[in-house]
Amino acid sequence: MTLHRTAAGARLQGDRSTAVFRVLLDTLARPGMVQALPPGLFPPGVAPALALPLALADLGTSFCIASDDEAEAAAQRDLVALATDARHTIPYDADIVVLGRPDPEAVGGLRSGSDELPEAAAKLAVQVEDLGSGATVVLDGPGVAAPFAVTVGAPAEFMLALCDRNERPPAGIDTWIVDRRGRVLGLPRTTRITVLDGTGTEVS
Amino acid sequence: MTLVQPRPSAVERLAGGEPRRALLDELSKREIRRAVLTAVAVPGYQVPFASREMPVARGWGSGGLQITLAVIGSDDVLKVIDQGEDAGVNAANLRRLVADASGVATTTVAGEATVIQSRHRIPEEPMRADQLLVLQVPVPEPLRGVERDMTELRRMHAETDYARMWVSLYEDLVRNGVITQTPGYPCLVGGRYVMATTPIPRWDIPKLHRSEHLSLFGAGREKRIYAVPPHTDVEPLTFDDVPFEVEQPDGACCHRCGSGSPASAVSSFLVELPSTGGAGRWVCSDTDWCARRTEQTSRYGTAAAGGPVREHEEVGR
Amino acid sequence: MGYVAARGGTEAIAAAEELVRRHRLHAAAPWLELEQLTERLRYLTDRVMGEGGLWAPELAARAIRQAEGDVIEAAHLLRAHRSTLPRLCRLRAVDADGLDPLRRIVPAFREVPGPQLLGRTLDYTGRLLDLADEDRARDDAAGAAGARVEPTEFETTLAGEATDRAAEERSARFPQRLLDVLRDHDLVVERRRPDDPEPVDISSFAVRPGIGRSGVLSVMARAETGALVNLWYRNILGPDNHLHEVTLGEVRHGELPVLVTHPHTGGDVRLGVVRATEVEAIEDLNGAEEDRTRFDVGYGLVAGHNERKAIAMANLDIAVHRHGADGALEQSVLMTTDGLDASGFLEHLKLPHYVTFRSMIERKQAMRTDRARQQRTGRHNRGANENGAQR
Repeated sequence: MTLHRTAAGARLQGDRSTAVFRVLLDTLARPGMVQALPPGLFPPGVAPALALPLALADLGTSFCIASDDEAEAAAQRDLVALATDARHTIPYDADIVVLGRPDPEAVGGLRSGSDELPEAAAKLAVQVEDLGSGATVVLDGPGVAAPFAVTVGAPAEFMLALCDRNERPPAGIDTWIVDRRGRVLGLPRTTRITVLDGTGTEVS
Repeated sequence: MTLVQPRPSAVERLAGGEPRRALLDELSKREIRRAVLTAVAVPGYQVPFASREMPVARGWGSGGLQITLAVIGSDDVLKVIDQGEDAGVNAANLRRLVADASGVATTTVAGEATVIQSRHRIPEEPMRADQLLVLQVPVPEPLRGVERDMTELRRMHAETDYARMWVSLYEDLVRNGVITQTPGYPCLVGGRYVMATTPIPRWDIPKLHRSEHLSLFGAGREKRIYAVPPHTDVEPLTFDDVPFEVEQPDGACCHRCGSGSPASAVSSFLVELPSTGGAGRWVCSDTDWCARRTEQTSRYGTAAAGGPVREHEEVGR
Repeated sequence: MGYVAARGGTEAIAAAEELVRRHRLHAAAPWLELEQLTERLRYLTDRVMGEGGLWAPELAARAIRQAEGDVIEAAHLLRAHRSTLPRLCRLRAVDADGLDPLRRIVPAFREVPGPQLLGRTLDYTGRLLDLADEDRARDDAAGAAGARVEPTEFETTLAGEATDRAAEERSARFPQRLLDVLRDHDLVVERRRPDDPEPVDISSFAVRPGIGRSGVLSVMARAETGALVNLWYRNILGPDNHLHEVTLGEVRHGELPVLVTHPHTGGDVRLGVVRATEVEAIEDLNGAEEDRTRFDVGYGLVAGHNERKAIAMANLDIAVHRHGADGALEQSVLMTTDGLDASGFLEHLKLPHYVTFRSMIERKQAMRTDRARQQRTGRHNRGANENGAQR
């Protein structure tokens, strides 16, 4: 029953659903600009990164939640399935993917679409602790007025793995990095990312 | 009628108890939202979407309407224009539909709006980062003039094979002395995709280039959504020695606000009020912009230079 | 700028709506009951449901009444209504062998497995305008209203011949289809595929060439009847010419069950029935690359009773299959037969276009200015100036 109650609280409808979508839209249109999810959006214990499937998935969509903590992932799967009627599947088949932590290995197994089918790419949400920490990257491309540096809450290895997948747009993976406080940073596949090391030198 | 009137509990569970008569259910909105996000991530690419039927006919803004309904929240303020005008019947109709379905506030003042839905124009007042432009698109495919086969068109976009587009522009130039492509002028977006500009006049195209605002394009009948994010290159296709020309009638100025006259520091897209026999008169197509300039002129003797009046007091109509 | 007169476009729209409303309420004739449409204008409601993509006879009748009889407008009302409804679940695919026939004819053979059942059809009623006295006709209808309708001889044949054993009854109720007979004789090319993919749902997926057969069939099932008939005729007589010699196998009209999977028990639950028209069309293959020792069979299935549309659909199914490689016919079927798309775009020409038209006039003037300049300078065209590099 607790699961059902949590799922009911996590079900996004009407204005709440729109508000989350607008955060996803604004952050994707302006890569690297951090925005916060509406406060008090979900019941306690619901990871903020689940906002992506909870706002976008439905009966016709598949999703995947991957986490080291299998018990937590299973609970999150049940929650999203109950709240959205979407179907859980393996990472490669999923339209919407949530990673419980910035796992570089996991990025390799997602669908990235193709030149002919850019829309077949997965949408990815990554749960991180704090956007204020992690690797520093320089962003450029559509939506960026002038290249700028920002911390992304994820380690350099993860960012390099993402760069790998987004090397040849229009194929690629559209990513939102979400921290525990519900702050969101968007990285569309067309963003050019340069990963810096501690000294501000480019990592390749 | 089991199929159309399911058990109330199930409806309650999935659709939520919407107090207003929604034009789109939550699931249809999600499908549009997913397509919008893909469009933003791949600027200029035409993302297919299901395109549900709207209370307006195909070709009457059903694509723009679906996007607006999918993005708009109760905090938003909506402006709808057609040909630059808020008071046209089609603009009035779409505004009424969205307002009734979503309960948002509406305005005619561009600066007050957070979402602007438009057919054929971009407002003269520069749009800000906190504003969103939704354009209604009748024909989203810029290459249809050179190729009809949809499978081949997909290949051309996928491979960035725009050679035939360039050839057709060149032939046009050779045959006619100018590039005769009228509204909907093709542009290269983000250096990657050739995109149809809806049709807005060529006058408005520079407003898309490295803009502050996000532009979303909806073609309901052809079931495509595409986007130009902020700060993204939108370059009209032309040749190095052939400058891209916008519509600027020689010596014409708005007979109401004076826009375009030698004394005016600003100009705007003008449409002609034809008269039989003698020369026609000209007037701004952006009626709200023009009305506020006219008001300013009559009150202070001069219109503000460089942009429209920012004050939001009642404008006499 | 005539439209500027619509300062206060809202008032103009409200006034137009008021005119519609007033004439609806204060028409000289009595209020039109939904039953009159569903019972007396059966083909009309069926057509609106088919093109509207929603099985809902009473809603279709409402739509027809609201649209004042405009079929496309009524179909639009149904589809726009559908857009507001939540998607609750997916229905189970049902086997068309389960169609309970109200009518079934097999033109290709004289004696076929199961009955030839003419049923309710206008095919053989003389096209003579009924000029019976209006008052008498009304009295007759009123007199017959309460009376029990006895099954006709032809309706009883079905049940009467097979009262002995349930199996016989079933075979008469659900006769073997002609296609199976042809398959037994190895006379048809095999078009069944070993896998059983989910059919494409065209209301949640943008169709485009390459969508697959289920998508093409779904588009045709929702297409405007006239558009489909015209496209068929273009292929018979007109420039397209993708059909050769078609014979109809099955033409059926009957009821199909609507099934969902019960969320807890996993069993089938029957929600009700929809009426549908089903057609199998046999094409004599004559292409150089085709198997000339066999036939191909096309399939049509549309909501309600609309044989014209189902036949055109079955024929075009084969035509798309036979000429899929060049893509043009498939694109025509997919992109040009939807009534709402075509009519909406046509009617949008009534919207103001003065901004785009102004832009077009400006180019005409620019061309003239350029010509005048060329004549002055003696330069004939830009072709001589070929260093125009791409930007």
